[in-house]
Order: sequence, then C-alpha cells, then structure tokens
Amino acid sequence: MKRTSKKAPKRDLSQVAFARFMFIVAVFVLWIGVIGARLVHLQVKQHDELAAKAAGQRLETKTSKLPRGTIYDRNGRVLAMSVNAHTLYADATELVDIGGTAKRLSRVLSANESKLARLLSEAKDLRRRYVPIARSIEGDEVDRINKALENTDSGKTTLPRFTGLYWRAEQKRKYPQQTIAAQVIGFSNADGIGQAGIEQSQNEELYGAVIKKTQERDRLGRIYDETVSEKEPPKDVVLTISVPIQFAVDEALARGVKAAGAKAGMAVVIDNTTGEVLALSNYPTFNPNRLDEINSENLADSAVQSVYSPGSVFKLITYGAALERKLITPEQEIDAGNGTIEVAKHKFRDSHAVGRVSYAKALAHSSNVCAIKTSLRVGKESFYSLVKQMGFGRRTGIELPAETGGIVRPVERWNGDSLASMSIGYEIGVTALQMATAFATIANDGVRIQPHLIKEIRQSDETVVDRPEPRRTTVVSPETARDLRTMLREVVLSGTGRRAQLNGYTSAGKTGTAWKFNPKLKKVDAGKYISSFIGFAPASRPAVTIAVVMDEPKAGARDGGTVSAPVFKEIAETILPELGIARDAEPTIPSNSQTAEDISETPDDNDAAKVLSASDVNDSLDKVASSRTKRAEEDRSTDGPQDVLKASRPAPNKNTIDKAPSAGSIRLKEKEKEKSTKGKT
Amino acid sequence: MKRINNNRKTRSTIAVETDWRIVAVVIVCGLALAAGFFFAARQHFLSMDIGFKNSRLRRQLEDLESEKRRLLLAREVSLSPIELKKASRSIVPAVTELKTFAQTVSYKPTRPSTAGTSASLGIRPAATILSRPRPALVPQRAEAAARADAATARKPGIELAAAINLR
Repeated sequence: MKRTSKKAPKRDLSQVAFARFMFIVAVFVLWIGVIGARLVHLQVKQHDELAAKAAGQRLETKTSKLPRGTIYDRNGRVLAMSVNAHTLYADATELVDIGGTAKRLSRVLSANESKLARLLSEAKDLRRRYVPIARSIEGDEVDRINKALENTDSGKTTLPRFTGLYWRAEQKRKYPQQTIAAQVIGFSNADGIGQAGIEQSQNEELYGAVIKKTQERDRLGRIYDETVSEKEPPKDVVLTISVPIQFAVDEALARGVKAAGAKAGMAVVIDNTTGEVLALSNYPTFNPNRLDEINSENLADSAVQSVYSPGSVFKLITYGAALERKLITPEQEIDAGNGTIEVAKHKFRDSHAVGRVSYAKALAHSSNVCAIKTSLRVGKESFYSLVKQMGFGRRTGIELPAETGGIVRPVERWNGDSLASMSIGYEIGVTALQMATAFATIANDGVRIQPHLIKEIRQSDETVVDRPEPRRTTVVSPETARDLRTMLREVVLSGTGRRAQLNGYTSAGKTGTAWKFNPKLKKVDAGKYISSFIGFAPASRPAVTIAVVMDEPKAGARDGGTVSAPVFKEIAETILPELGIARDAEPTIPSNSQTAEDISETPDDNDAAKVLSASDVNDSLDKVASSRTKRAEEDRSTDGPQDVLKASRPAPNKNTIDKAPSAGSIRLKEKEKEKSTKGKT
Repeated sequence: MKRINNNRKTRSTIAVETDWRIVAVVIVCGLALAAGFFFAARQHFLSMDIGFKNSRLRRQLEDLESEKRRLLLAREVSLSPIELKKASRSIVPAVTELKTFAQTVSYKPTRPSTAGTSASLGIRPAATILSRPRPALVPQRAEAAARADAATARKPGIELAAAINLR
C-alpha cells in the first residue's frame, strides 16, 4: 500500500537566507539612502546657509589698530607713544538682571550703584548696544576686573565672563615729558589722527592702520586659528629736539617771561652747522595729556606761526648787505649827527645820540640813524635781495603745520620811507624761527641751512627709512659773515646786549625792541613792545644760535637787552656745557651779577622828533679818533650822495683819542666819564 | 539514485579560498582606511592643539608687548625732567628744614659718655641732633608735596566714562 504523506514543500534554506539577507540589505540600503539623501540635502542644498551659520559660530572678526608710531627725541627719549587700553561697555539688549549687574559693577568699579542701575535700565529701554561704563583701563586693572566679574553661569566664552559686558580695545596716546616741547609735538585725537605739531604733520607716517583679525574659536571659546590682514606698520619719528636742552630752555623762558611781566615768550635754539632745531619753546604752554587745558593762547606755536616786527635785530640784514657790497667795514666811521634823520618826510631818531662812531659801534649802540644811512647806501634792490636770500617772506619749510612765511612786501610796493623803516626792522613781519635762521646763517660763515625738526624716520625695528637732507644755500661770503660776527660781538661787549655776556664763553648777538602793531588801530602801539635778543655762542666758533623773543614785557625798560638778553645768557650757560662745547673765555663774570650800565634802545614814547643839542652829543657814550676834519673828509667820500639827509654835524669834541679804541678801553672810558659827570653834579 | 550536489562543496571550497583572500584584502583596506582616519583625526587634533598654543603664545606676545610699552612709558615718565624736578622739590625742603632744625636746636649732651664718644670720634653735634626723634618740625611741606604727587602720579586708575558721573 502506498503511503502518501503531506509534507510541506521543502524550502530552499539558502533562498530563505538570501531573502532575509536581501531584506536586511534593503533595510540598510533604505536607511543609508535616507541618510544619504539627508546628507545631500544638508551639504548641497543647504550648504551655503549652514556653512555661514557654522562660520558665524566659529569665526569672529575683530578690527583693531596698530599702535600709533612713537616720537623720540634725538637721544632716544620718548616724547609720544601709544599704550593699549580697554573700555568696559555693556550691551543693554543682553542684560537680564539690571539690578544685579549694577550691584556687581558698583562693587568692582567703586561706582554709585543706583546711578549705574538707572543708566543701564535707560539703555535697555532704548535698546542701546554700546553703553560705556569705564574707559581707558590699562594693564593689571583689566585682569582684576575680569576676575571680579567672573560668572560661570553666563556661558560666555569671551571676557569678561558676565552676560552683557564686553571689552573694547583701544589705544591711549601718552606724552611722558608733559609740557616739554608741547607745541612741537602736538597731540592726536581719540581716533589716532594728529591735530597739531609733529603729530599732525607726520600723521601719515605715524598713523596706525586698521587691521582685521579673523579668529576661529572652538565651543569653549578658545582660539585655534587666526588670520591677520597684512598692513604696513606705522613708522617712528626721531626729532632733533633734545629733552634736557628743551627743558632748560622752557624753564629759562618761563622765568624770563614772569620776570618781565610779559604776555608770552618764544625761544629757539639751532645747531649752526647742521640746521637742527635743538629746542623750540613757547610760553605759555600746555600739557598734551590734558587736552581740556588747551586754549588758543597756549596751543599756538608762536615761534613759527606768529609774525612780529623784529626791530633792531633786523639791522643784521642792513649791515650785512653793506658789508657784502663792500660799502663799509666794521672799523670805518659813520656820523649819526644829532641822532635824527628824515626820510620821505618821516623822522627817525635814536634812543640816545652816538655821534660819530665806527659801524661796529653804531650796531653795538643800535643807532637807527646809522642803520638808515647805511641802508640808503645799499639801495632798495640789494637790500631786498638779501632779505629774500635770508629766507624772509617765505616759509622755512620746517616740519610743522601752519608755519607762516611772514610779511615782506615786494619792492615795487615800497613807499619812500620803506627802505629806512625796514632797515631798522619795521614794515616787515618775521617769525622767531626766521630770525634765528638768519643769525645762524651768519654764524655758519654765510651758509644758510634750512632749519628742520626731524632727524630721521624709521621702522619699529629701527631701520632708517628716511633721513631728511636740509637745503644749503650760500647767502653771503665768509668774510661778510666774519665781519658781521665781529660787529655782533661788539654789541655784547659794549653795546645794548651786555646782559648777554656769558660766564666762561664768548657770545655775540643783537638786541631788538620794536613797537607792536595794533591791528585794531592799524598802527604801531607805542605802549607795547616786542623785545628780543638773538645771538650765538661761542663767538669764536659759534656752535648754537639762540633766539629769545618777549611779547609785551612790562617790567623795567622793557627792551631786548633787559628782558631777553638775560634769558639768552641763562640758556647758553646751561646748554653749552651740556653740548660739550669747550669754554673759550675765562669764567670772570659771576652768573648772577649785574653787568655794567645797560644801554637802552627803548624807542621814546614821544612821537615828535627829538633834536639833540651839541652838549647832548658831547655827552654821548663814546669819543673817537684823532682829527675830526680828516674824518669828515673821509666820511663825505664814503657816505655817498646822502648830504641832503644828514643831520647837522656836532661840534668837534675836545676829548679825542688818536687810535681806534678797543672794547676794554671803551668801557674804561665810559666809566671814567660817568665818574667825572657824577663828580660834576 | 540520489543525486549528490557537489556544487555546494565545490562552491564552498572555492568560496573559502576566494573569501580568505578577499577578506584579507578587505581587512587590509579597512585597516588602512581606519588608520588613515585615525591619522587624519590625530592630525586634526594636533593642529587644533597647536592652534590653541599658538593663539595663547600670540596673546602672551601681545600682552608682553603691552607690558613693555607700559613699562617704557613709566620709565620715561619717572626720568622726565619735570618729574625729577618735582621729586627734588620734595627732598630739598626736607634737607633745608633739617638743617634749619639742627641750627635752631642747641646741642646739649645728655650723657657725658656719649659726648665724649662723639668728641673722640669727631662726630659733629648736628649728627647727634639729627639722630634724636624728630618732633613735628619734620617737613610737612615735603609730606604734603609727596601726597600731592602721589595723588597725581600716573597709577593705573579707572577713568569712569566722562558722560557718566557715577561717583
């Protein structure tokens, strides 16, 4: 019998396994497909959006400035530099607990809590994102505040770790020498842009460029990559100014201005052989660290920006022109007559009659009559030519902003008496720097060197980038310069500048006392003076030229010899040893002693011409020479066609000396005469 | 007759031989890939680590540069002639007042032995006077000047924002 059993159809196990396998594969494929599709969606379709979001989380771009270049003096002393500082500010939109924040800040900064709370709450209402709390915080103080404000709950990654508070990096400009050379250095504003002085004129070199730092941070805020945009670093500027010399000049000038009761004062010191300005001082001055103290009176650099009538110091040009044209020699004589002269219906007079004197003596006693007569011999064109060659009427080119070129009218616009006026320092406007440069030219054997303030410009690694070369121009011959120096020496030895005699050094120079021009009245104001003394030392081998100008002195005679020459003396006696200049004279004069009788050149307040009598002339300071007749003849031949302008000649003096007197004998004679006069009275 | 399927055996034999090679290749490739990933990961974290160190050093450099500037500034301020003059003013009155004090107070030796010692050592009376505890004549002006100088000296103080009068 056949058994039929119903057996289940034998499945192929392999097929089952295969099927299951394929099922799992399908699941995986589907899964991977979904993931892949999602990846494609994220990385292709949403790529830009997500990349930007990631970058926003990871990247941070900060702008900062390179520190502004440093200004040094010639010896490497820092005159101006920038330091890093921080401002703590609040983003009011992020503040959660105003009261708590105010309380914390008040404790850390020792500030008033209620005021802080009010400020933050107002800012939050206005949705302000920058509320400065504390400015210009430096160094360790930043760390202290960070530690004090540490709040781990805030989740902030940047310091300070306190919600809503941030630091802003900035720079602060510091001037460690304070008032020293303040007008020269100037100052810069909060944006790091120079506003005055060298800070302004060299702003392009000093300016700290803005750089961008792109930083990548991890989730903990740590920076792991940083890219800085390349910018040229700012340069440093080295000036010719010397801090110790500038300080000495500032102090001497301040003392001089106060002693004279003057409104203001200026002083310039120039190295004759290089044209470097070693000091440029103005009084009153200011502290660039305290910009709130700056006003129109103390900010201006008057030495290059203020124009004034130089007065008798300008006789340097008059006699220089005559010497250069070989019209005179220092020993030749000139007759000042009774001390008055009329040119084109304008009467000029001397402060005291000098009679018949040598040209050296005429300059020493600052005779206006002699200077005018000399200028008339020189002529307009030659005089004007030397004025222009000496640099008047145009800027010196010194590296300071707003320098003025002064006022020199072209010769075509001169009046009949302009030459006479200019020869004694009127009808012309100059700056203290221009006058100092003119004297430095004579001190430098007639070679004019452009005055300059910048010694070199260099990179932060001290690589020199630029070293300005000043212009050199031969203005007068060395012989003319030498003769002029001899004449200027006489001014100090026996003339109006005796207070400029130095202890241990010889000096030479010229005083100047001029009425100030009143712009409201449009004429000179006889009650106000500009008194100056400009000279150089040592007289034998002049190393430096020093110019001192006092604006409206009120004390004493108010003339340059009284108020400015002592300042010159103090400056020279301080800085010459500092510069290592060897003494060229015996230290015979105590530094504080009064010199023998001053010769004033203060113009008389009386405008009317003062005609001197013969007896006044006979009482004049110096008597010369042997035969008056012989000298009169020589005078007529050398003075030229000026008879119509000569005043009446004085009567021959009985007390005459055969030989030309030396400086020492002149002083002796003056003392003897004084004694005899006192004896008589 | 029972059919014996030898394919499986053959296949399995062949498969075993084939599988081992493939497996070996796969394993090697896999290992290489994994090693590559490990290497890449290591490089990544090393670069991150170097980046952190770099930024720390850069920050340190910036801080040191700032500190250097700050110290240079402090040095220049202390060496400036104006500051030296202020400092000298506080010293000179002290010396002047001490001299004045020494001159005004008459010297009376309290102990003969001291006087004798002083005399034998050639010490001037002023030295003994100066060594006495000083009364209130100690230069008050100098102290006041020193206090004024301390108040105005450049210490890293906090400048509250000008527009905010918080004190």
